Amino acid sequence: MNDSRGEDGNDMPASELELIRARQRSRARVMALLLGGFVVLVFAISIVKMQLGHGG
Amino acid sequence: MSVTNANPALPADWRDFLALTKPRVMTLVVFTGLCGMLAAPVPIHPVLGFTAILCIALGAGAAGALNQWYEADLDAKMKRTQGRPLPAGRMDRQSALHFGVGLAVFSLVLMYVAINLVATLILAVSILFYVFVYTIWLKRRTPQNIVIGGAAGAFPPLIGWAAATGNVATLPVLLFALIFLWTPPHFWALALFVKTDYANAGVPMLPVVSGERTTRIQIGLYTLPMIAAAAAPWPLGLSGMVYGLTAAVMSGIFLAMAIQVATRRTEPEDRMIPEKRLFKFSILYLFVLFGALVIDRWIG
Repeated sequence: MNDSRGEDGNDMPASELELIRARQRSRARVMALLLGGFVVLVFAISIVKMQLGHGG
Repeated sequence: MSVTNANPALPADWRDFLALTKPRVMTLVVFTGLCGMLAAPVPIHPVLGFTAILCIALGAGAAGALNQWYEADLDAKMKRTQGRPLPAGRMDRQSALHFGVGLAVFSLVLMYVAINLVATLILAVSILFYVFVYTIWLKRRTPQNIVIGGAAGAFPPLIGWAAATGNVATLPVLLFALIFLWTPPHFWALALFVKTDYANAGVPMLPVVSGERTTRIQIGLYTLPMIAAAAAPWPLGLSGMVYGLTAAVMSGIFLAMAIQVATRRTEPEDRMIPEKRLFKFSILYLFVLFGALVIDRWIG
């Protein structure tokens, strides 16, 4: 019954394992987008603060 | 706690984390915060303005997530809320707690680094007030829960103003008072037509504890100081005629609706139309008044 087992050899069916992997991929993509947005925001804030002469 | 994740191995979807932040409630919070900022006499750089509004939204989202973390058992008992991620079993409570705390800390650190200390402190007070005073302390104990707890939702214009100016003045305090006094008639109108839901969950909302008659009278009574707070900026010279006239017209309509709700009795098979109408209009009321204030500032 290999098709009903996860690749790690645990009791989880392959379909459920695939669902977990898909959920993890989707979360990772959203997190990457948010982090990318955060980097852009911090960069923009730094430029504005320098322009306004606020220093750090 | 009876609320558990249906499949503990399955990580919650990112949409469920988004739902934890109560995006619909956030709309009004962001709008009033933005208007508080735009009504300030000092302009703020668009990037910093965007960052301040983002921090207000994230702070409100954090408070919403922590509220849902604490109230998962309560949400499971009410039709209106049982589809939320925790009562529906799509997320475990620890994830919600970590997400809420993490988001709160992130919003405060970003506000402090990018904006200023005053805005950060008010944002911190609003998050702590919503979580500890409203959610944990008052909500399950007293029918005055939304009267005092309503202050948490009244902070955004103060934060927006403080982000632009670095201080607090009379106008944002009046805007705080307006939202604070608006909250009881707004929520009690809702509580009148979802009374059974609150009663089933054991939440001591005013209609459940003191009955409909008292609730209706209280809606009428709270409307009067709310209208005074809404009207005050014009005679005090803090706003112009656009806001003054808008506040007068909208407050007149609000008062007429509140009087209708205050003086009627619930009939058998009552569809609660005036209560639903007041609830919907109260949301429009706040949007229009804050919008008028900003337009007033721009043309003035």
